[in-house]
Amino acid sequence: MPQKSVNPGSMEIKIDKKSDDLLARIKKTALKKIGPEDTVLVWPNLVYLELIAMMFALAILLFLCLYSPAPLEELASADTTPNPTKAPWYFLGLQELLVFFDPWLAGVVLPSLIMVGLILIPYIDPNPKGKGYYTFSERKFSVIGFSFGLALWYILIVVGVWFRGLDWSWYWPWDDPHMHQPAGAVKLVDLQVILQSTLGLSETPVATLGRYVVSMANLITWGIFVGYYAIGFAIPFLIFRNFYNKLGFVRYNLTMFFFLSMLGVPMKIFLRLLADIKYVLVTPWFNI
Amino acid sequence: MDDLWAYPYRLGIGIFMVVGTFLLTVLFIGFTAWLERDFKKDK
Repeated sequence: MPQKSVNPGSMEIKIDKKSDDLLARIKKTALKKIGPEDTVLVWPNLVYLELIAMMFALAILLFLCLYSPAPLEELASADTTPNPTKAPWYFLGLQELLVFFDPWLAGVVLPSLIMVGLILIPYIDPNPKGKGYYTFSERKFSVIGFSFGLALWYILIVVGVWFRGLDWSWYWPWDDPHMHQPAGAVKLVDLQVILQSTLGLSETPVATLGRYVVSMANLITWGIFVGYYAIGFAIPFLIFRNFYNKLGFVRYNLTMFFFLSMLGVPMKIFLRLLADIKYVLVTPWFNI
Repeated sequence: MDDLWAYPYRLGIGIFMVVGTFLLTVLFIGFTAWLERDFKKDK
């Protein structure tokens, strides 16, 4: 049988007479470019590797299950609630956030922002580099931003798993985990209360919106909150104009909103830890 | 101001979180950079 070989891209295809006729019917442009020279086929090259990786991961998981079984306890009873009550490890980051944030924020808003932010990444990242290969040098901002967020998430999980004990108090490894920590002497205060006393502002309401009584100090805290985002949006726009131009208006604003919200999480944690500030902004509906 | 080192260990927790987040970030970035170098070497 007469054989002929064509080389579309890197693939060497042997075809007989019959398929040669078929080939003649196909537009020339359709065969012109299949892929870069150094590509390999998904099957079997990639799929075999994935299968091996899957078996390997399964073996490790099986070994871990045998070595360290799930810590199942007795049936739950309302009479004896465990102290502390810990969520599964992958939720302990969220549980730890509850120490520092309003429950509505820690339990609903922040997880939603994380999920929406992750979903949006492919749409707000216009950088075509790094597809199909690992690179840090070609996508520094993305890698640093994502690594920071991931590290923050993992640190919160580490704290929840290993450093929280009875009454959700902090226990260093050298503290006795069976002894209750002393009652905390720290009095947390809202930022608007601090502003009111340090600036000598009057408590008289500036405006009343339903059950929301707005004082001058409360207005200033709104200014600080909005100012944080405004300055955060403005700085890259003014200094790294190229960054803005690459992203465009909508993608820039989305990126900065999520980036600033992520940075705001540790900032809020430190305000609470080191400045004893309970909430930066207080409203009847939510506190930040 | 009361002792930041005493219980509830506010300063210690703060330092732990900053150092921990920084180290983990560096670890992740280092891993990416290592993968990049390693894959380039393979080519």
